[in-house]
Amino acid sequence: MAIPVLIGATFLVFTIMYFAPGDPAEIILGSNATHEALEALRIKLGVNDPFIVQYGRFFFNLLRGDLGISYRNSMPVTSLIADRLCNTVYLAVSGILFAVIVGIPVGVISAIKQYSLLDDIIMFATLFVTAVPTFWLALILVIVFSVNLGWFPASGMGRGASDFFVSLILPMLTLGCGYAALIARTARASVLDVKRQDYIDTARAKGLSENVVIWRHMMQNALIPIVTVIGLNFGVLLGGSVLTESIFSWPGVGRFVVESITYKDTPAVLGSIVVLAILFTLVNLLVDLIYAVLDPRIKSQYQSAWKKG
Amino acid sequence: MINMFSRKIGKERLNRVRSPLEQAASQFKKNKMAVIGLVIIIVLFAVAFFTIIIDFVTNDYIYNNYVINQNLVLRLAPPSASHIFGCDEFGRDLFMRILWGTKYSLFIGIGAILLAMFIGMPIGMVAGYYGGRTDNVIMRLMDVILAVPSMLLAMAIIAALGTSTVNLLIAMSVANIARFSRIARASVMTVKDNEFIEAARAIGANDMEILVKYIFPNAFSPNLVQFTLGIGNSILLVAGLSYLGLGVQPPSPEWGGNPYNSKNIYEGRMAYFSISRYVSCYICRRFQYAWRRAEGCNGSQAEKVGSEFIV
Amino acid sequence: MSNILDIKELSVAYHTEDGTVYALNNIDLELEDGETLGLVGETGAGKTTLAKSIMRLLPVPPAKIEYGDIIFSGENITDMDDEEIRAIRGNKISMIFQDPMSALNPVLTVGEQIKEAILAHNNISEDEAWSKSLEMLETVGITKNRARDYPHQFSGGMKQRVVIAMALACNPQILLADEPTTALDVTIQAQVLAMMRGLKEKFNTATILITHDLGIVAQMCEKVAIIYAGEIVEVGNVHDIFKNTAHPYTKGLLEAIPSIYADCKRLKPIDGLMPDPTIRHEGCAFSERCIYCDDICIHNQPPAVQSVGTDHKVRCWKPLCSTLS
Repeated sequence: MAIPVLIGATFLVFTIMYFAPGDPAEIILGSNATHEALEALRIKLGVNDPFIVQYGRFFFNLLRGDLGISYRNSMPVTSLIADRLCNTVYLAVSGILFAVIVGIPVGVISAIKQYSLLDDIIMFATLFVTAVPTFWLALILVIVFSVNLGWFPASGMGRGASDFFVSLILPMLTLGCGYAALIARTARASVLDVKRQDYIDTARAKGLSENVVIWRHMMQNALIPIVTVIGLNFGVLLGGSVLTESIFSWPGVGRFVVESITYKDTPAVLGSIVVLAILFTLVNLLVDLIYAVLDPRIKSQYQSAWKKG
Repeated sequence: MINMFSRKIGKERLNRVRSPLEQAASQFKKNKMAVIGLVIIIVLFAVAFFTIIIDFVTNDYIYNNYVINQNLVLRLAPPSASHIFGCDEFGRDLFMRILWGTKYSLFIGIGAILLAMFIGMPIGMVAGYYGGRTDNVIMRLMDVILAVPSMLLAMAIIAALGTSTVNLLIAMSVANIARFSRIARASVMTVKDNEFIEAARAIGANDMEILVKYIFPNAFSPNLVQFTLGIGNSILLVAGLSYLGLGVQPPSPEWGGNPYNSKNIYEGRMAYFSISRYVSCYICRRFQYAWRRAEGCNGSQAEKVGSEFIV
Repeated sequence: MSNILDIKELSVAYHTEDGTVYALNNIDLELEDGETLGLVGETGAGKTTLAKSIMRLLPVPPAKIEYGDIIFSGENITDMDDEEIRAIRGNKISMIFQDPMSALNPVLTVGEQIKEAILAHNNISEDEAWSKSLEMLETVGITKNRARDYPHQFSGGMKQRVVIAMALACNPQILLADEPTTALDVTIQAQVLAMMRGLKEKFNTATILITHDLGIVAQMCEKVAIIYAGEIVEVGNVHDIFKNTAHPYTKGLLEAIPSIYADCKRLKPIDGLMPDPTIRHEGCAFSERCIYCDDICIHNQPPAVQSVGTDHKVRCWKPLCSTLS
């Protein structure tokens, strides 16, 4: 199901990057190289081959884990990305964790205390935060916490455990805030929706305590749409990491993409985007699975589809 | 015994039936945030138009002399009487830059979404209406587009095509095309099995007429919702891309580009230029939510539809 | 036989932004041990509000019990705090709701949901509670091996059986059934009603059966109360209500049922609509629609008077059948 789509995605990105300007041979050898050297390199790189052949080569190499050689520093793209992928993942995961840990409770509280002042404040604040552009938030955070208060570093990723976490805070906040606001809003809407369902009345009519009603009956049902939203927006998060990483000079794949574009390093751009697309698809699959676990109706849909073949 | 049959029963107070527009307008007015949002959006549009007209009439005189003119004497000047927001690192008056930057964000943002809608909706409608293989193929294509995070996709397209405004529009619309087509398809599928469609066929309408006259008006509203949402997102995306140097190029005073120009200088003043961008998106969003509520979605539905955001 | 439930002058209002809705006005109702009382009324008359008030399930910020007392088994439960009322809910007084489709939590198995009800009020082990829940399922005619199935795997009628099993799991003294068969089709309705009758005989639970279907009332109830615009307009045993109808509204309801024997060309509805609940009316609530309406009806609230038969009361200035005529 997801595999053809992924293959298609690699094809799409490859096709787009195919049109990128710049002669690879010249970029690598410099413009002072001789005509013969350039031509030889072109043949070696295979850029004179027809489109389909180039794609085919790219794809088979991809399957073997080889993403080509960077034009910029002639190193294998795969290792360049591998070095940076963990960092992006750390950032993304911490961003999601922050967003979930902050967003869900805020949304739930807002829903339970609907119509109160707290609810209004939260709604306002979340709207506020979702409208904030990432780089603005990042700059403000840096100005306040880094330049003025000196608590956190303005850029870079720290080495060693405590330095690492300290340097993670600001980027994590930048990335996670918008996400948290979105999750809070979704959580609120979802809980409000579940709250007025009949089975909540039934649960209360059984004489269950309010806590049990909220946590056992409301939450599991309310989580379903929230999980959907988390998954749907993970791709956006990955895209946003590009900006965040750039601002904080966080050595991740996102920043790598931006640099590579600036240096016209096509294989690097291609490789990074493909890797991120794969990551995104995997997360979506994971979300689908979690969804099936949470909602028995979906589980039985999958089961019956599975049985049919 | 009074004969009650002669007495008029029923709600004397029954209001006259109001048209949907009137109902939407009255609900809209009740929501103060929506009204504020509308006001601010009108102001933004006014500024944008104003600056365009000034440029046209004065033949770019003000633009050249005040907006992009560099004056290093005034480098990073603090706010003062003659320069309300101060100056950037090239000595350009920030206030003027912000005013002149309005049109980029607004029109590029709206333009990208409009483009995406005009392309995406027909595709989705065709997929939903004809179903079967056409549907499968089209939807797989859209899935492929959506498999790549939209910011990265936009960046790749700009990398490939170069950094012009047109390319920016194209890059920004691609991901949204896929979204619009999904939504259009879903709404077409809910409408197409209705009996009035059959009736239309029975009187001899061909496919095109059915799509345009019957299906489209009924399937339109979720798209409208996505449209309003998308605008806020687009504007933010333009800013983001410009910040990275991939969007509108300097010396154009695009709002996102402003901080880009001074990326390395962490001065409090930076907040000023960014604030305007931020305010506009904020307002767009508020307005969108409010509008959608007026359109008749209840709050939770609106939230679910609006559950996508772009950094 | 003593009254297990005594409602005195209950008045409930919903205070909303758009105005106050006077949902219940001065309700007086008595329910004897083991008795089945039918509560009949149109949509919007206040039946569900009444049931929920007894259980204190009303959403309290907008809703408020303005006045009145609810006496259960001699105890006044109107002002009980949360903990006390929770001990009663599901345990001594149970409620089943109208729409079985949405009354069960979709992510928990049915066995689990019944077990939960049992464990909430009984200090027994989980295993014991589970086997008790299986027993309850059998009592309502669902095989034990379906206990681990989810609600969406059951049909509407079976879901309602599960709901009934859940409600009766702790052997309550009163069951409030809010239109339990309205959402089911007629054949299933008959099955569920038959089952409910059997259960009633087995457990001897007092029941308030809320419905707008007079046929069900005739089948299932010993006593009937007619509710209109938040007021009880007539109450009596089922024989008296049908044969010695006292209130013009009840008469109108009975006449609106088309007869299978008579050759009628047009149905006979009651003209008009229920009055606006946001307005407190001066006189009789039914006066606008009543064909016997007089000046006194419009301006004065009619008192409850005794009518023909035992315990047959009617709230009308000009009852159709009274001890005076």
